[in-house]
Amino acid sequence: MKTIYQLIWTVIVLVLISSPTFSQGKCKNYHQSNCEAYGFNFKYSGQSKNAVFEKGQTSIFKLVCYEGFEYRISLCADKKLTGIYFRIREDNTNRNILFDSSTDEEGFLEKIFYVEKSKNLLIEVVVPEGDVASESAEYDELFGCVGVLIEYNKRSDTGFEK
Amino acid sequence: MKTLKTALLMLLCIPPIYYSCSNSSNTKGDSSGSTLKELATTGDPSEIKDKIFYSFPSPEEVFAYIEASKLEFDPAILNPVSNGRNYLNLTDQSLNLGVYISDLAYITLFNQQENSLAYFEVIHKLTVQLKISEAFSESLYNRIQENLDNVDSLVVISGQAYQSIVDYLSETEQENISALVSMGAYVECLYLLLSYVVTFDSNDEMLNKVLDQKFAINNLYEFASAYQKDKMVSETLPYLKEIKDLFDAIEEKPIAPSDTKSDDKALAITGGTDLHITQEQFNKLKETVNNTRNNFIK
Repeated sequence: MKTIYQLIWTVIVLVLISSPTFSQGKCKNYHQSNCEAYGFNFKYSGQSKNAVFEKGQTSIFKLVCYEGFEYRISLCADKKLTGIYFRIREDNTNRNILFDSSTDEEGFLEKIFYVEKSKNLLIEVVVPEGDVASESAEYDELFGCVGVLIEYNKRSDTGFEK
Repeated sequence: MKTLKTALLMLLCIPPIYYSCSNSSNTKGDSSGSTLKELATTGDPSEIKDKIFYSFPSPEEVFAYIEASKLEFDPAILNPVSNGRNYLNLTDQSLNLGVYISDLAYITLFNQQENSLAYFEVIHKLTVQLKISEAFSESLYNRIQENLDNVDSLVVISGQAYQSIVDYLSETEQENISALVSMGAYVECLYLLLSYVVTFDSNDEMLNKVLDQKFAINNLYEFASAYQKDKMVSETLPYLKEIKDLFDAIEEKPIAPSDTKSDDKALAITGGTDLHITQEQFNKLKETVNNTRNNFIK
């Protein structure tokens, strides 16, 4: 009997160790490898991020934006995270939506913007639940990498400034 | 036998429980130096309830904003590389890794080849002492030596070195060290910038750009606060809090509510606030930043 319990606890430990986890390491340098940089004079910003997302997850990226700079935000994600979109919101109690990629005519997962006064903005990234119910989906199908590439440029360098 | 059935039932239940716990973790999860935190929502956007990732500009981004390259290089304001041997504990090594990263970002703007190499070397030594030298690959080091006479490349490499270190710390779940490195880098950046504001003039463009560092310290403070259970972070956080409180005390005058207008190339986000600092507040800010920085590098 003792042996059976030992066996059971061994299995429990093995199950715990081998339980499926979508490793953070899978998303290493994801945005640098998968998000398309704009080029021209735009420079890579250290505010860029990678993250593991689950279907149905919404997350906020707090971004510092300086006046006189223009920023390009571009999202890239694993194909299984279908329907991903982002919004730019104010960083205050109302969190008003300033831009919504899901309703934008072009509908691209990218946007160039600038602020007239330096401020923090919230980049809200939304991965919809999808058609497959979470309970029946394979574990790996529920998770994927998301890259948020931020690039910046002095507005006067592109001639965008009017 | 009943006990055996109970044990088997437990066995069947454990994976979902474990999954649920790992799924709801709110302190780890990204791979680039961010903090995750439950967001207490207010009002309409109640759907925002998952996680927050805090970002703050790298030293090179701050210097680009300040247009530091138009300033005159002053080696006297840097933390001398010779101090590198004085940092014997993890806190000092982490903070001064950040300090030297900011110094390097400053130096690379001015085509200072000899200084650039010396500061890259002291950064490399600190990464070895912190056992994070994998973040500072040999290829990066070789590229530095190959590009010593190319300012633009050095600026890019310097930025990549910082990013590489921050990313590595996150991937290896050393967010506490990342918080310390970021605090060191932020304070040094602020110190270098304030060194160029010798006399108070509320209309001075440089001063006003320094005041905009208020936005970064808010994000940095929230990020670092998530790791205050760590003794090294909790002992350092009060220094940052003192500077943050001074920024918070600066008057914010709303100029207009935020709105947007679009042209065919970019979205303009209008509105915001003007920051107004008094001479007394400025003096106190400069004094506090100087004291904090001197505490970090001693």
